[in-house]
Amino acid sequence: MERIYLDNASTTTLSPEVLNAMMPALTSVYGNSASIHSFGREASNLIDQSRDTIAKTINAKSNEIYFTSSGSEANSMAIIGIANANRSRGNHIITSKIEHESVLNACKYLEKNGFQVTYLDVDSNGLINFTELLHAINANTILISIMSANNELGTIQFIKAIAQTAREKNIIFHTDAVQLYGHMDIDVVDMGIDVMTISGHKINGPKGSAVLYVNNNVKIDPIIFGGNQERNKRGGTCNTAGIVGLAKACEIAMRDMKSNNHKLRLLSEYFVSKLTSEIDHVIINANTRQKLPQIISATFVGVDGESLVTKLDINGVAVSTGSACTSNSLTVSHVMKAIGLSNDNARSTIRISLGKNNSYEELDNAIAIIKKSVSELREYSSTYGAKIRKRKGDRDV
Amino acid sequence: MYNNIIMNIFSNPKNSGRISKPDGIFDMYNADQTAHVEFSLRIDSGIIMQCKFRAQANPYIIAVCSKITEVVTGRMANMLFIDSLSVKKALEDESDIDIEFCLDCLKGAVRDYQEKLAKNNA
Repeated sequence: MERIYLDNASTTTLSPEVLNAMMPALTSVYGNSASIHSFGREASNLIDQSRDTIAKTINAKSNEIYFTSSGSEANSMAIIGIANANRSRGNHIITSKIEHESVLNACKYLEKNGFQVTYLDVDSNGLINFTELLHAINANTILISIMSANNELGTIQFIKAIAQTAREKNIIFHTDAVQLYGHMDIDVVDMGIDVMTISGHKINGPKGSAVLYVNNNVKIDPIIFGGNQERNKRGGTCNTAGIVGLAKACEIAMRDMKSNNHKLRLLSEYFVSKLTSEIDHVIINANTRQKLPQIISATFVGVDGESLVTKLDINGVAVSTGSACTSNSLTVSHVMKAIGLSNDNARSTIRISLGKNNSYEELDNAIAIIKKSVSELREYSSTYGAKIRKRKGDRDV
Repeated sequence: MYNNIIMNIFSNPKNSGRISKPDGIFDMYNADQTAHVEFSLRIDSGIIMQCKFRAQANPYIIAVCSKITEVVTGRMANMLFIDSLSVKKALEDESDIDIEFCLDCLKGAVRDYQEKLAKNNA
């Protein structure tokens, strides 16, 4: 059975170029970069070069790049590390309701430790409201954290404007750019971004490698303690191969950004057009130009998202649920809730995320399988096209 | 994520759909409205001759519903007792997911049958 991977917002394939770049660090350069001997220095040199490469892609200084093991770790370090280091200035943080769980859960942790957090609403496309942001700022606000592009919708926030607002108010601004980096030029100086998260495996780099950019003027405490690695901000032996791979992935992402974006836009337009014309009652969420085209949030009315994802998987197509249900918890995605979807539609939503390696033929095959799977599930759907009799009275769906 | 029993039932659920002109039918959401199920029954001389389900729910709930339709067929409608543990045991599942609402829905379909019967007898 041919397998079709349409879950590129979750993770991407490792680029052969990246793997080649990593090979020395996986074989001959095995020293600990913190060691003073030549083996260690070789590793340290590779890490320094990687730091330089990544810094250049966002117009940052090399010593503003901190390597972490994941985007989640970088986000946690940003939120908790900044909050702790700046507590004397205030205890209020602003974020949005559609952030990644690593940001939301870090905020919840801080709330239990004396911080106050404002969670901004978003509109039906997933964009925050500037007036609401301005109203939320108070004298105790020390940090604003808004993701650059949402992982379930693809919606791109107006980051430069938010960053400038934060700077005018002397508030630190962090953005989780895990989904956006590699798809849009990001100049942290020009945009006024103080802290930013980047992850390797979203851009065809290795898993276990990520970056937290921290402007030298920002005070941040470590959340992982160990030796003096990463200038005392992040303890633990550096993942030399992962870091080298991440740098190579960043380099390639910048080099190929224009052509990749062009291809992804064409693929996405083709896919959405065909999907909506061939299957009845499909709603495309966040149907706006202010988004990453390759992330498609689609609601199939009357179909359970998790059942659809499972059925597609059985037939070789890999996508993910927009409504992140698991077998152990019947819950609805916080993002779908935040954009105002009804429970019915939220749990009927899946995320299809295209990648640069997808072909039109794959998309055609995937649509045929989606069409068949949706049809099969709708055959015994208790809500599709039917009047639902609830315990209290009747209503139309 | 799901064990093989659940995946096999989900891939080929038994008794899916709705019985035309059912003797008893009921549908309902679970408490947080993340799953919706419907059971329809054909009952003859008080015995459940056929039970079908429809659902907008995840594979686990679909497997639960399918299993319930098999378990109840041939049993007396008025003396129906199925506990969630026995269904979970049949699916070899140890998750703490709440399936009581599926059983409540089945009871609703039986109640619907009983109400219709009482009306006809009146």
